[in-house]
Amino acid sequence: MKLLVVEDDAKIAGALRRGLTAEGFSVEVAEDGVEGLWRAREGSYDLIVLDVMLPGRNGYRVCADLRRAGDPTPILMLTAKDGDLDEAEGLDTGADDYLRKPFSFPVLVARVHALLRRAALGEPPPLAVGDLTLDLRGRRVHRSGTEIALTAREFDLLVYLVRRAGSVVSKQRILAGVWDDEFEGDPNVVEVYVARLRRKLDEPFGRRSIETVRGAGYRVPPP
Amino acid sequence: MTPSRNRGFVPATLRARVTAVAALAVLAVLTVAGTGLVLGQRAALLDAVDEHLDQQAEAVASELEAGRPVRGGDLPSEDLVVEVVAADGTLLAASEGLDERLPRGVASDGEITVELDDGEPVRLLERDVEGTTVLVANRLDDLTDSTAALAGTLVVAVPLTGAVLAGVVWLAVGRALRPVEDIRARVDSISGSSLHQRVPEPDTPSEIGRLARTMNGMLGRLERSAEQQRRFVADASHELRSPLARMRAELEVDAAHPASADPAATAASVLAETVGVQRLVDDLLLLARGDAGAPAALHREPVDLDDVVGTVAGSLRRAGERRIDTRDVHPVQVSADRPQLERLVGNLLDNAVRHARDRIVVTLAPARDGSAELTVADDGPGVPPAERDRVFERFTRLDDARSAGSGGAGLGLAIARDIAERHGGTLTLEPTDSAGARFVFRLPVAREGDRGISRSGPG
Repeated sequence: MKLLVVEDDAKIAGALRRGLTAEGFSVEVAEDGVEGLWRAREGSYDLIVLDVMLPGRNGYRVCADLRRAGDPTPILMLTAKDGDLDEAEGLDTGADDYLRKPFSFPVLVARVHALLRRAALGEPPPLAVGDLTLDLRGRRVHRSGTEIALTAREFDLLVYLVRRAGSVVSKQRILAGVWDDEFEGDPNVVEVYVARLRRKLDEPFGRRSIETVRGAGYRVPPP
Repeated sequence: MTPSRNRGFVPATLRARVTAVAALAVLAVLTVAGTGLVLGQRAALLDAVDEHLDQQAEAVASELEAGRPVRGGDLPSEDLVVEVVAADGTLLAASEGLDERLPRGVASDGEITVELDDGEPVRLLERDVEGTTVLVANRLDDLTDSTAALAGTLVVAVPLTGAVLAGVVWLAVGRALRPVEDIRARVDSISGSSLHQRVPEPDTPSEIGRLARTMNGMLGRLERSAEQQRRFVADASHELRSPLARMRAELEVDAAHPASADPAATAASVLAETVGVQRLVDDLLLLARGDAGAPAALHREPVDLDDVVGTVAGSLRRAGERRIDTRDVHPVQVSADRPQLERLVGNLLDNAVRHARDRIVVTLAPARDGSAELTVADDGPGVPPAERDRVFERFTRLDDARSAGSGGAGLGLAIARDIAERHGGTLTLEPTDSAGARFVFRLPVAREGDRGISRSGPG
């Protein structure tokens, strides 16, 4: 696996080279944006670690240029500024993930592995039951073309049920599968969340996509 | 000096401007009034003359109608003169001293003003009595004289009044505005390091007095906030200096005595300190952003507060913390920024973990007033009532002897309250029956339909 690190701070670049080499990657370093863009275009890399604050050409522009040229190499951005705008901007220009400086090296390695895995698998196909589609990566739900805003846990619960469409799932299994394994709250929480899902997914559209199986649990009818 | 912004004829200072406007206004009003007065007087005098002419014409006419001959000696002379002319133009009688013929055929409809051959203006009336023409005229030089006298007085008096008024206004405005100049000079001299100074307050309850009091109020607030800022920076520097000193000592001792050094132990220790410093810097940045009033950083979305509690409690449990009781946490949805809520709950639980003896009880339920109510109670030493607000201040550690090792820098609760308030909620420390501290976080719940369904295409 060959990585390109575009970073102008020699100490950070050196540490990344040493650390990532020790993790088994082959690492090349570019010290400014212009060199980084040139190398990324000439060489063939599995992943690019790209700093935002670079002399010559900043990371956002390098990233945007690569994407405009149709280069799909996964890009992990390193942002120095602390601000949501910064991160949103990074993702907007086509970066796959971002990490805020100062970062923890083990976290960086974990993100690199995750990005490489995702690149190897390609885009996961969206889950669908009837006119209900679940975009797993963007964590978004649409029903007949209308986006429905769900909270994180509501989305996880829906994915869990849709993945098991056709079979009955008990409350205990849902709690164990969807909630934290350290969950020690009120088990009736499942009922509340299912009721909320119905109110958001079914009621406005006049559907019934989550059935209650009395005494046994819940079931999403098979597609 | 105030920079001059003199454009064209607009006077630069307020004082000059007010004076000029007042003087011009008074001059305009007096000029119009004076002109009106002169014209009115002239009209009234003319009316009197006209009436006199009419009476005289009437008297001569009635003589003629009665068939009595009119002789020149009977007619009035001096200012008012009469001429009686036959139909063929023969002069029948005339006032003594009238040495020219009055014009005929111009004043038969009513009195008009004509000039005689010698240039004298006269008022003239003509009347026909059975073929005989009676002409009556009155010299106007008296009238002109008295009107001119009035006009002459006004021409002197009006500008004089204007000038006196301008002088009075100039003095009065200068007097009224003197405190403004004093205030300006004082404000000019107040710098960041002399915020204790105040502007002079005039004794009057005038607008300027109010302005001065308002300014002093603002200076007071500035001074307090600068003082707070100074203390905050001093505290922050101290908090940062301590870990730096520990790291430097360790590294320098290792460098001086390599033989006795344990590189792995030093690295682990320095890393732990670095993580602590980073967390502190993050906290400081977060608070600074809150102080700068950057609500744009708040990304509200529907969030399951119970899920936030579960996530934070779960990660603490995984780290070996077994004292947290979340059995009384019920589902409540709020509209909030999820990472910030996690921070708030995390800080509350961190604090509880630090102080609890054997139990931390977390409850969450919708309160009667429709807000979400989250409580975190521990069975630690608790907080004396007098200190209940101080625990939310920055860098407060109630137990001053406690080292940085057992707790954070004293920013956790300050940040938690900051986040609560930024969401429009409250975070308070409330009294309990038993020992220990009980923190209550209240937040309005998400309204049904708050970004529940957003209309947009897929993708």
